[in-house]
Amino acid sequence: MDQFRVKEDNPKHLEFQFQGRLDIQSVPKLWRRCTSLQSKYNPKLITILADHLDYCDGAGIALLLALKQEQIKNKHQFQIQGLKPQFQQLMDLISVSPASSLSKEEVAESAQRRLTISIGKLALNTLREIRNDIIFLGSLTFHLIATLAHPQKIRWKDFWAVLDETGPNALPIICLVGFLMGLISAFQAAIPLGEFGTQIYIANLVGISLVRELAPLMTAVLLAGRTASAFAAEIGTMKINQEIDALTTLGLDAVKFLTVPKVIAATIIAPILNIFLIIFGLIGCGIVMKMLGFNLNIYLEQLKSAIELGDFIGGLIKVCVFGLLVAGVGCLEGLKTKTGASAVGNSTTRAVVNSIIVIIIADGIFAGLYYVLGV
Amino acid sequence: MPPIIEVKNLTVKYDTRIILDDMSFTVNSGEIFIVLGGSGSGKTTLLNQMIGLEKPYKGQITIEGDNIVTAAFEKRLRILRKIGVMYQSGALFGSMTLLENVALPLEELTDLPQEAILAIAHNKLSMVGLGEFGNYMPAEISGGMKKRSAIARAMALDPKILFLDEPSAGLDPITSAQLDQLILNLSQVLGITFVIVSHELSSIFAIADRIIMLHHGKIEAQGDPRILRDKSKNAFVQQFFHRKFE
Repeated sequence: MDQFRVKEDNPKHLEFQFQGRLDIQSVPKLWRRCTSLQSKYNPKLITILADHLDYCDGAGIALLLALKQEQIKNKHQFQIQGLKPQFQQLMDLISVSPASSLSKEEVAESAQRRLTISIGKLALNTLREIRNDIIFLGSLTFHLIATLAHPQKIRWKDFWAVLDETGPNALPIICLVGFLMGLISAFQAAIPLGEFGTQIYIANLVGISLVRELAPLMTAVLLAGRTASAFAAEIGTMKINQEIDALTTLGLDAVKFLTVPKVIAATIIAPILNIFLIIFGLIGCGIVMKMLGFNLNIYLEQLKSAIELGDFIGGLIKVCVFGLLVAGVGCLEGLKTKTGASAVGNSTTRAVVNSIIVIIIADGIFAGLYYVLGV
Repeated sequence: MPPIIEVKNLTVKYDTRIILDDMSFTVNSGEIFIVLGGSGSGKTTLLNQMIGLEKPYKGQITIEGDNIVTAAFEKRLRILRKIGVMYQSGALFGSMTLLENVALPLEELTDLPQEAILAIAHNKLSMVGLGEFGNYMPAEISGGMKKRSAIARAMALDPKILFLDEPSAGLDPITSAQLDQLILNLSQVLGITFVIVSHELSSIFAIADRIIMLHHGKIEAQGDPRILRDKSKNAFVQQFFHRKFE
């Protein structure tokens, strides 16, 4: 702005004179000045003298319109003199927003309404989500039973691909984690048991805890990190690319088509991975036992006496259920993917977090059940 | 009056494949200039070059005399302030409302007070007929509205040149015609120069002042589209305008 003058000798009638350029460079300085003068005097009339206004861009027009809107809101007058036709045309392109001329009471009322609406929306969304979860659970159960009754209907190509991805590809990390868990647990047990001269029972402690609890739990957590996230990302990306819509319009059930092979594959592969984790855990424990001076035969005999078939079967049943839950949650979160750049990332995170929560809850139920059954 | 954009000897290669071959043309201030061509003719590559997203193999692109190809960081920012871009999909930020989308460049690149930013953003949305939709999320509006919102965002900083990538693609004829009218209005009222990549013939005849036709990375023809359609002897031009193929 080359020059800006205000005639404020009559508080009832303010005159703003703009000269030169009223653009995005000059408006930041003028905005507060003009609006504060307007609110200070609350004039009956504002006159804009624009005879010498050479250029006016979107920011300049926004300033003129803001002054005009405030005058209209206060039921006062506003006039512009000498504005070049092209700038007048630009002003005419923009309609005065009814929202921006709300009174303070109306603004407060609309804020209250917004709060009520957002609470209502949240409640509705939660209910809708629960409903969708129930529908998914029902549909998955139905299709799983139908597939088990007619195994020839399973999509074998997808099934083997998922089995390959969740099984052999996960093996190195499963073996490493199992080995380290056995090793660490044995070292941790060595000190307190050594105080009583009962280090031989490290084999019992590590063996039973691995077979009954740690191996199924760690296998499931690793499945949640690798498999649930992968399922959610894959299905989520399909949803964003409208591939799920395409399936639906082809008359295919997305749950049956995408979820069933994944869930069955994860349920089958989980106990196999669990066995590998146990074996490598026991190898890790065996190394510590050897370092503590125990013969390998004694260690194996001790394991044999400690671990019963029931412990092993109980662990396998548990990990099968964990595999089913992890795959189910991963697929569900994938199907729930919304739109936008962060949607797939959010689904993946939710898949991992929710899988782990579901695993822990299921583990608690199993603990109570096995206690009651005496397993 | 010197041209607002000048493209000189522009050559773009991906590995050994030549996408744009020694291309030269100018765009005059205030005109609606359309880059026309079939799929794979290099239209979008040319657009990406002009807005500085890609570097050419050789040649120069000047915007108001400043070469965007060789411009250093600060100068490049100054050049970018003169242009606005609407991408084919709209590329609105999905986590923001339409008002927030339009307000974003104003918040990040100007010293305007927040109330002024919101007023300007609202005005820009009003200009494209979406004044009442400021609080909507991009996912809640139609394809045509997304494109209009993207134009509003591109106009946020009052650029001198607007680049539009396939504005009519995927729109019904009525919405497409509304968008054409909007472009004409903005051109006439604000004096914005438009560079539009398109292959929608109806839009081209409705709004273009001048076109260039690309074919296999070269300019096959340029000029007034109506004259080219009626008088050009070029076989490709005739095929394109009269929807023939051999």
